[in-house]
Amino acid sequence: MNDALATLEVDQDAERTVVRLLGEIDLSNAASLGAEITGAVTGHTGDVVIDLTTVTYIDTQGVRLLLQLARQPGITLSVVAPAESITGQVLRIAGLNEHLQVRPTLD
Amino acid sequence: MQGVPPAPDRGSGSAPGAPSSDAALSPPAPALPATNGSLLSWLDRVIANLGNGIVLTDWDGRIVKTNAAYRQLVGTPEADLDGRSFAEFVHPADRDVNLALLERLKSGRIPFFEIENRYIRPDGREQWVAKWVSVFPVKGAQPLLFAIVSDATDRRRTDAQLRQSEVRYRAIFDQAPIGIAEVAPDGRFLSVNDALSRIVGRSPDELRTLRFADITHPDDLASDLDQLARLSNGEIETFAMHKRYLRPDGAPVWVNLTVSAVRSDDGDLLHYIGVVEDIQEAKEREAAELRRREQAELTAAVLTGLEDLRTPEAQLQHLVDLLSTHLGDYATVEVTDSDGERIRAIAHRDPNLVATLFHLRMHHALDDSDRRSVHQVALGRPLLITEVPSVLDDMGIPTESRLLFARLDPRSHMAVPMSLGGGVHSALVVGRVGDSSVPFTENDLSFLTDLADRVGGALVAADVRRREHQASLHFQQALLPARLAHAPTVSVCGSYAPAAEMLEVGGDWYDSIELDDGRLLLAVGDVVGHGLEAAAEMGRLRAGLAALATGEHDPGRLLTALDHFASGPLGADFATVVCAVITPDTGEVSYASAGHPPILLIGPTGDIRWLDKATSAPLCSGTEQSRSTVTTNLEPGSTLVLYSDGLVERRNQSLFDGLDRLAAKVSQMTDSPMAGLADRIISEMTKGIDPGDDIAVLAVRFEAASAAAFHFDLDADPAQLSALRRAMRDWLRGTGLDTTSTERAVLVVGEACANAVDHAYLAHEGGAQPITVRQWFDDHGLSIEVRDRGQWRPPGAHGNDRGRGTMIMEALTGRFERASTSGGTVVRMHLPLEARFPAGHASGGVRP
Repeated sequence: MNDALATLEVDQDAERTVVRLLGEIDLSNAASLGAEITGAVTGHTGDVVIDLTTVTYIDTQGVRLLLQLARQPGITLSVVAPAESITGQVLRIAGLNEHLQVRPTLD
Repeated sequence: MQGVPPAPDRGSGSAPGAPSSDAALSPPAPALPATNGSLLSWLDRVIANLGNGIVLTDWDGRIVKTNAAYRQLVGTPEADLDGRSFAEFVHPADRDVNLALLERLKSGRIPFFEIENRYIRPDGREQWVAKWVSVFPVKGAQPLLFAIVSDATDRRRTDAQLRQSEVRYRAIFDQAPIGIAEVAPDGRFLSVNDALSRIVGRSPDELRTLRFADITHPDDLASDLDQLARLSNGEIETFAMHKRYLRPDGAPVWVNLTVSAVRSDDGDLLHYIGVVEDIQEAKEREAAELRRREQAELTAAVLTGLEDLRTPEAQLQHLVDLLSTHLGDYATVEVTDSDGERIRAIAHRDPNLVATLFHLRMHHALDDSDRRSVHQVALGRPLLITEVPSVLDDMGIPTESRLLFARLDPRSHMAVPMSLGGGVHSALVVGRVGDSSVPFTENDLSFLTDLADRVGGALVAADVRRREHQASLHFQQALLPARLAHAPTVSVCGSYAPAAEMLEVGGDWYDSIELDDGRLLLAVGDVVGHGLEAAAEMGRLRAGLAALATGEHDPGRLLTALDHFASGPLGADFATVVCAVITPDTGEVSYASAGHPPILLIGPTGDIRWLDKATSAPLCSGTEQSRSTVTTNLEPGSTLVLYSDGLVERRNQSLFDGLDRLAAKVSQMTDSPMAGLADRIISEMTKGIDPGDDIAVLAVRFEAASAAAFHFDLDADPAQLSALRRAMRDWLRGTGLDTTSTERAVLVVGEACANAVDHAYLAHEGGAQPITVRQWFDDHGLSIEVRDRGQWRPPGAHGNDRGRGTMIMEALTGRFERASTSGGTVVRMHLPLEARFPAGHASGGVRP
């Protein structure tokens, strides 16, 4: 069920871990995605970048997921989302940029 | 005393008092006998039977001889006369004159004398006589005195009467309060009295050198001459007319002239007598009265016009139009209103000169700094120029203006200040043109000053009313619903048009309310009356209906409850209401009307029906009404029109004509988009006319459920959310909606559903509670409704995260509402789509 809705790709080097999410994030998969991402970054000391560029749906369940990740000790989290996209709007309205860095592009 | 009665010498030898036969009696001296005796006997024979009295006395006046006629005159027989002095018979008052004349006669200084005097007869009666007295020479002896005496009684009487009448005439002539003139047939004044002299302001001597035509007003001369001609040829005996004489200063004086002809016994015209009565004061009073009446009428016309007109521009134009035709030849007005706007209006009797006047006014625009402007003067106090040409030179007017002035040719000019709500720079100007026009007077100026005051006041009042009208209008619009409830299958569109008349903000209203069972209550009402009170009452009724509708869904009973509410202590005027409850899923309609015009129902093919049952008396009729409800069904594609009577009532038209017209119009609109439909109905129905009343219209269209709306039921299971999103995207894209708007709609519905799942989960521990999502397009965008069976929990009750969904829904929609009842929670959202909505997106049967 979750597999069908969203998948994630992880790019890791010494500097940072980039987690690219693909698909939709809602109440049904937010919790499991959170667990997956946590698992992927655990043990790495560098920055964690969540790339939402390829997310087609995210609501406050997804925002909550990101905030929970950011609060985890030992993680310096940033998010990539194009400002004009619906995702960018959601993050902005939800005030996510007050808690972590939101960038329009990965680089 | 001596004998022969003397008299003042008339210096003539004729003897008017004596009969002509006396001459024959004059005794020729050569024929006289030589002795007294023979003479006397001769005389006796000659004079004895003469009709005139004859008396001979000696040189000392002692009577020598008399005849019978004489003795009759003195009333004394012959026997008593001999040796008596004739003077004894002369009235004492006449004696001295007689004796003096006698002395002159006897001394030879006069050959004879004539006198009239009175005799005193022995019986004491007076006898007027005319005497002719002369000397009768006697050869060789003292001359005798000779008198011919005739009875003068009749002549004295006639003379006295004549003299008396002449005296009386002279007295009248000279002292009469009215003017009298004797006028020769050629028009020359023969004589005039003092009164006439005073009336025409010329001395009698001067007048005698003039003809009456010389001092007659030119306009009155023809009529005078005409009448005189008829008088002179005997056609009329006399005539009378009102005419004007001209005094030396040119001032006219009104008189009432009566003329008669004086003719000789032969009928020849001797002269005219004119009697002249000074009626100047009366004429002036009459003219003043007329002027007052005209001025009052003008004032009334001006002020009524101001009442009827709505804009200051139209009001001022009306003012100058009237002034340029009723007081002067041109008029201009310039005011600065309370908003600082300068408004100018110009009128000229000759339309070709309006432009000239306009240019002049531009040159002489009100400007404190321009001392040449006559209007500057008018800012402070009224200005009257009786002779414009004489002052133009002194004003130092530029050449360009001179040319304009020459074209305008002003003769007389007035400018008065006019205040419009404290506006300082205001002037009302009126002028007359051409040499022949009558210059304005002080009276005209004071009239114009007064008129300007009144107009200023009226304009201020009108301005205040305009503002009040605007305020009432805003107030009313504030009381009308900002949005109308609608349903997936029911589009609703309302419109209100105020009456064109000023101050006629009415009490019409409309509303659409969602009942707690999902049905819609539609209503249109009309509170009798106008102005703020009616608008307030309208707001009260609307609020009352909404409040009552929470517990009562039956239209008839709802109206009964509303009647009780409206008739309560705050009690209203008469009001009519029609209301209908529509079931969005089925198109079932229940309705009831309290004195309101019937609901129009246009079927999908344009067929016409009137929902005209279930009628009862208006609200607040004062009697308890039984108000029933009638139910019918709508076919998909039907249009309902609820309206106030202003939409269909026209002066001089029957209500049925109006209803027929409405039905005909709306039956052509079955395919018309819902957006703005109510506006279009009003504009179609009021095309070319000024609605006398305000109008409220509520247009409602019922569509088949499948065609009109998106409907998705899901369980309170998070796993079903993605299916909902897919269905939504399919449906929204099918309508032609752009991706951004689609994703926004998907997002806010997702937020609402996540909350609903959350409620359901919390309330029922995972029990599958149904959630219903509906979406449909309305006038302005997409309407979204999400219903669940749970209870909303306030933001913050579950941590900060919980409020974010609400924040997103509020931020991304034009409207976000959440309502909880015992049955569950409804979230209603609206996405405004005006800019993004593609034209002709009606695929899928959705109407904008």
